[in-house]
Amino acid sequence: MATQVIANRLPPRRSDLSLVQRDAWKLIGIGTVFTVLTLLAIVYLAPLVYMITTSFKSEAQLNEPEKPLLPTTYATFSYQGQALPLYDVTQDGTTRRLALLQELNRSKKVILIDPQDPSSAQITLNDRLPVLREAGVMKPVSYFDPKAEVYVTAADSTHMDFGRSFINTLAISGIGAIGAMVSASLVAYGFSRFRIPGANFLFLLLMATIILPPQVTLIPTYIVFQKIGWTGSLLPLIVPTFFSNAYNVFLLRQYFMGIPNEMDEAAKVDGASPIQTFLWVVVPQARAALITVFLFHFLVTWGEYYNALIFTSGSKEAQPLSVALGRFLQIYSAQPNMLMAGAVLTMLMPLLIFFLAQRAFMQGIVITGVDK
Amino acid sequence: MSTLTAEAERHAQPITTRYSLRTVERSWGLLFISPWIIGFILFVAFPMVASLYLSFTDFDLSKNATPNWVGLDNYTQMFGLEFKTISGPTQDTSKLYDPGYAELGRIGNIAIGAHDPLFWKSLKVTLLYAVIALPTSLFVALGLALLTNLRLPFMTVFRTIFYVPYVLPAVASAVIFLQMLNRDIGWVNIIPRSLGLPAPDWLNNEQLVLPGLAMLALWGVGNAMIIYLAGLQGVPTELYEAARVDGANPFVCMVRITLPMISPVILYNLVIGLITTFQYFTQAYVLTQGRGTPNYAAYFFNMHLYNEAFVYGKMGYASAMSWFLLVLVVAITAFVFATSGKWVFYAGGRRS
Repeated sequence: MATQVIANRLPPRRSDLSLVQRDAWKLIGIGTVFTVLTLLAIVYLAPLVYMITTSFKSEAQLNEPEKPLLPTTYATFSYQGQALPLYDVTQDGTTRRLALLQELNRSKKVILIDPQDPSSAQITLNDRLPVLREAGVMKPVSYFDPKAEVYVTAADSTHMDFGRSFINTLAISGIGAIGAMVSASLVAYGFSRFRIPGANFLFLLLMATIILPPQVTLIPTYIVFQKIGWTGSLLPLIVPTFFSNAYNVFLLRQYFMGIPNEMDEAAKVDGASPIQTFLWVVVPQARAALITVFLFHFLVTWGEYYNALIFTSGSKEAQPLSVALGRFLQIYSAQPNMLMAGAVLTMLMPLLIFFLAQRAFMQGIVITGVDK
Repeated sequence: MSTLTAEAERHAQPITTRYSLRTVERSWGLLFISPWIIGFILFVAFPMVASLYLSFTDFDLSKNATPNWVGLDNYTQMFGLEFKTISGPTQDTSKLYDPGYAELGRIGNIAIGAHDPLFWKSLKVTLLYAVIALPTSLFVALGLALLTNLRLPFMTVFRTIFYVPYVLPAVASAVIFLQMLNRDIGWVNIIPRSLGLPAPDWLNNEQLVLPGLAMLALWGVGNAMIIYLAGLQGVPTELYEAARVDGANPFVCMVRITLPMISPVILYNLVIGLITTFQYFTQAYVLTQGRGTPNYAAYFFNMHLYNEAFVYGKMGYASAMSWFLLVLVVAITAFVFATSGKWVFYAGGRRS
């Protein structure tokens, strides 16, 4: 408001557009922004639309020459034991729903009957069927007909082994997220509240591990896990999460440092041990940040592939969904509907979690500005 | 923040002057951070030293042999190059190179042979992909953030739409793009077709496979967008108001206020983008079924490392590769930080 007043006192600006003109420009600007955003939104949603529509198509529906977007089936009319395809036929401005009785390619004729009154006179069009369809004179009648069988086949496939893979992924992500949350909160509490000798150096060392390519620690870790018989199980994917990671510690340390120390001190005066203070004073105040860590870890781990591929190394009992889908792809690469159903099966959980916790999610990240 | 810490210190002073209590506090602190210290030793420090040691050995897991010290052999094999002058165009290349070397490429009449041509090829692919995908991703993410940061209705809906692909498993996204980039049924080709251009076969064309993978990366920029948004929302509105009073147009505001104010966030996204690009594996591995096809045009450094280690069992050689990767990533990140002083602006003065 204050700036408004100052602006009015200033000499007129270079642009001497009238108020109406300026409003018009503003509207055009807003219109352009919404057009661009809508186009971008279509581009960003297209892969998901493709995935979902394709996953509900049967083999026959996939091979339809018209390539309809939605899973559709062409309507037929049974006549004398035959299933005759139905068409919307436009002639002289009127459209009638007719059944295709016969296609005479050589004499360039199409013979149709009226399903309302099959015994009456046949209707003949003088051209070949593809030409008539191209010209829009004959339009096949189709209806929305999603096929859920693809999902059953995909989930039952031995390469996907959905039930087992799902439980494995749930265990890796769920237990892993608990491990990440618990360990990171302990470490972050340590860094934010205690005078530890060399704390700055240790914290810098922790942050430096962000740059570290996992490959540089992978091989010895793999060899050790193999020696102790952990490869081919879920343990190599779960156990390390209980030792915290840099992103989570950083996020929680920032958050803890924003919580006033007075309550800690009060608890201390009342004789609470640091563990009691942590559990009963700090944790309840940091619930939002802790949930963010849990959710992020859960989501990232759900889609993790590299470590899962290496550490479950060929053991089908231990494979999570991401590895299962990779394997599934090699078998069904020529069947788009199966591939897409497989993809949907792996992303159900992340999508569910995201939409349930969306608000906490996007707010949580915006507050901290720290990503995974 | 600083006042709080100062106050905490003031409160803490009389207590911590007593030696035993100070030791107690230290012990508690160390106890709380012990999960990380133990984890650091077990999963970072020890494996790093071990992989450095292994990189000087011929350790081969498939043979279950003990590691033999081979000195710098792995490194000389990895970097091994030789240059030969070709006398005529029809010279028999089979005898051109020393044993163990194969053709890497040619520049004019100089033939370049490498002991491990795939090391160089995969390095080239990774760097090329970084050059293609990283700037475009950062740019698109910033564009989406700027658009959805406008004070207009429905912006949260748009943000959610742009963010969703990021939460999907990487393998599932790759599977979708396997279809989207298909020459015949893929939707990406709707655009060239509608413009009357030939529909390319993205994933089977040496020149187009990396741009194809970059499209997949652009689809998943939602997280970078959210981080930019956080930065944009931190820019004080007084700055824009002051600029408006001075008659600055939106473009000037963008260049003189927005970009400098969010430059630390750009740096953050750039560094994280660099780190993730040098770890790039899953999408290319899934889309090319581990082969880096066509003709190794999508054969990334980490796919080569994976194959050497876990397909051929050459753990010593793969360890050498991993240490090369570490040095490369640290060098590039250090370079970015070193040059960041020229273009990153910290509102509170120089960062400590």
